[in-house]
Amino acid sequence: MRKLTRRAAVLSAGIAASTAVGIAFAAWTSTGSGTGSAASTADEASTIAPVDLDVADLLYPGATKTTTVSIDNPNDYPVVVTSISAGSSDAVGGCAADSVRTDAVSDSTGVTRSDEATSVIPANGSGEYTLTLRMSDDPSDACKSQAFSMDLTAALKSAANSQDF
Amino acid sequence: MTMRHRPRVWVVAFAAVPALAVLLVVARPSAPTTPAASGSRTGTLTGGSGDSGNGKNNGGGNDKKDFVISGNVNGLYPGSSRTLVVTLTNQNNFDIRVTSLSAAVSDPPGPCTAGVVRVDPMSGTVVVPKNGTATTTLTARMANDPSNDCKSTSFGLTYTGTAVKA
Repeated sequence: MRKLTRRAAVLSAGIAASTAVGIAFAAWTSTGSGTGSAASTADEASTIAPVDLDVADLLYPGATKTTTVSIDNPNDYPVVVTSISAGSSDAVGGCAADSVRTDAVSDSTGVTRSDEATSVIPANGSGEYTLTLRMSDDPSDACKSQAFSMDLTAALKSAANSQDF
Repeated sequence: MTMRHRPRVWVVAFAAVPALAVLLVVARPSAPTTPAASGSRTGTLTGGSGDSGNGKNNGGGNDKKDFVISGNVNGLYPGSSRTLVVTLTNQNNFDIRVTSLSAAVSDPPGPCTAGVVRVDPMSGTVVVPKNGTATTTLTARMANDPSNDCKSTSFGLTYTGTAVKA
């Protein structure tokens, strides 16, 4: 009977010690809270520039040639070009507008560059693209030896792949 | 989600432990507490819990106060990882050790959703001095392909954390 009592006492003390440890952690636990914000940037627009400046030398009535444009990426993330619009030449020196056209190109996954075997323009880099260039069948004489300019619009999208969401 | 459940767990533990302690005292009121340190520890820690109703506040402890978390980050863009500096403010008269810290991202106004931004939970711990501040860093990340609606957008962050007395 006495032995049983001692065992019970030891057992109780052991449990009490364990309990004390539990209280120690819980008693001083505190929580923290607060608010903040995470803000995103806006994209920076790319620019399109001609690479072949002497395309007029290549054109003649009914000609189909190619020309190259460069598109830059001023952003801190890689992008791909998903489309470049069709172009129509401005009037110049008596030569009528629309005497020269470029074909549109598009690829939802990214148009392949002409200077690299990829569609990706790296962050703060640039890429070149080949466009098909056509001169009308019957341009006026005023279109001889002219340099043509036209507006082009490119659509680009993020090609970032560094996150695993 | 894990952080939100944790406090509930501790509430349950805290409620259950004193009940067990009382039960033991009743069962063996004269039990020989051979290790004197054990009894002393129990009293001190119980007092520290701030339970004044039962007269156990003999440990000289201070009432704990929640710590405050704040911090903003800018410049997120597709695929980016940005350092988020977080300030921890300890309003207690004792040092605390922050053992967990996380941030939940809320939907901004408009069609952009919070799912394009994440904040990684803190790894490790940080000690904040009594009545002082400390800083730590988290990593805020943006998905590779957020929609255009997510440009120039501010996402709300709600911080939660836990700490123990250092």
